[in-house]
Amino acid sequence: MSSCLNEYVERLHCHSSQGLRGHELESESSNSSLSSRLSFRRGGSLGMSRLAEAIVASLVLLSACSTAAASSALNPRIMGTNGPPIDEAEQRLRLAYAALNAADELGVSGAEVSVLANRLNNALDLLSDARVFEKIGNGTAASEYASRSGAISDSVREDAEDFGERTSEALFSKRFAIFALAPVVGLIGAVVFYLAYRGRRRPSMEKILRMGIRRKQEDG
Amino acid sequence: MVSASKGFRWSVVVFVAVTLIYTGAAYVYVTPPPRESLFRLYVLGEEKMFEHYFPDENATVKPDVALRWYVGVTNLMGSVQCVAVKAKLGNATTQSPSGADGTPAPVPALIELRRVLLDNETWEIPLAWKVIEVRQDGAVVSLVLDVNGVEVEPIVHAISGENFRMMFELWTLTPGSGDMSLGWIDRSSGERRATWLQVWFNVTAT
Repeated sequence: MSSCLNEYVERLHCHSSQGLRGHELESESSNSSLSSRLSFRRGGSLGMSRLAEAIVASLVLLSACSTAAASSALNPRIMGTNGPPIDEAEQRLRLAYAALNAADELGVSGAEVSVLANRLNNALDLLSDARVFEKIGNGTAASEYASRSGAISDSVREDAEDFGERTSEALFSKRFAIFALAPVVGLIGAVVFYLAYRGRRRPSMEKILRMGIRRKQEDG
Repeated sequence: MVSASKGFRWSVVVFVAVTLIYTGAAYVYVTPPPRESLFRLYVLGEEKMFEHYFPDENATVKPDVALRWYVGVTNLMGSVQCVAVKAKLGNATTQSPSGADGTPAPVPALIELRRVLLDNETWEIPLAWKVIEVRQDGAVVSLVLDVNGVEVEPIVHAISGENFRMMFELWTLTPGSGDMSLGWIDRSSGERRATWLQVWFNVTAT
């Protein structure tokens, strides 16, 4: 903002000197009386010029103020309640939690989920500390704690997604194997049944054949 | 030949039957039935029992008398959950939280603590609090509290210091929406459920 103002002052000075040279500079003896004479003799055009300069100055000041306000709003420092770093860390923590929850639902081992949950609790604690620092007005510490929390959340999210992907693949393979076994089990059942059926039929067939042979022998 | 053909036909029937039965059993195995999902929320006194919430069992609190409670949460949701416990100060006319539509009590939280809980994990939060100052404006009494070392000035007042209540709400983070809200979604029914607790007390300046 100060650089803008300096630039503006320089430009104003430049315009002013150009204006003096451009207009009738009859006497260079007295600078103090110059302006009054100029305003008297060229009152209309010079008056307009100053008005224009005033408008330009106002516009420059206005734009400088709005630029400063905008940069303050976008500045990644803690401003008021829940500044951008804390909000961002909160968002990253929520994403990490969603990934961890999804991984747990997929069936990632309890030990792995436990480790990730502990890390996420650390991130929660850091975020809580960041809020405390923000409340007491220590924006730097708040920003640092929030960014550390966000970094932990990101690593938890990545690990949870990796574990989830791995578990999902293993789960798919397991389910595929379980359902692929269905026709095999059915076939085994059918073969066992067929063998049992034939095994039960054979003695009765032999008995009938023996009876037929005996009858023939008796007849013969 | 006739018997072999008959045996083969029966074998085909057995094949189909066994395959179908196995598939059904496999489906049941890989798809566990949805179980009831819930949280357990409780408040214990200073000896970690459901008693001795106040010295001498006298629910009239005096300034600078330290109280120590334990707020417990058990995750019985079947998966890891991110929970928050909010302690709020209410009075007799404060609207209570509603489990049906998930509306919390319309007063700011004195303290909010969050944690990621594993399935079947219990989290016990020590809550040390005391009344630092009793402000009287006629019959209207307002308080300044110290909750876990943090000084807070609740907006709630009570006539003659009677019928204050400390309310505890359980909030959860819904993974899909990413918002903290009162209660949780029951997976078996898809409905929102909520649990909250309150402990009534009076305050006297002397």
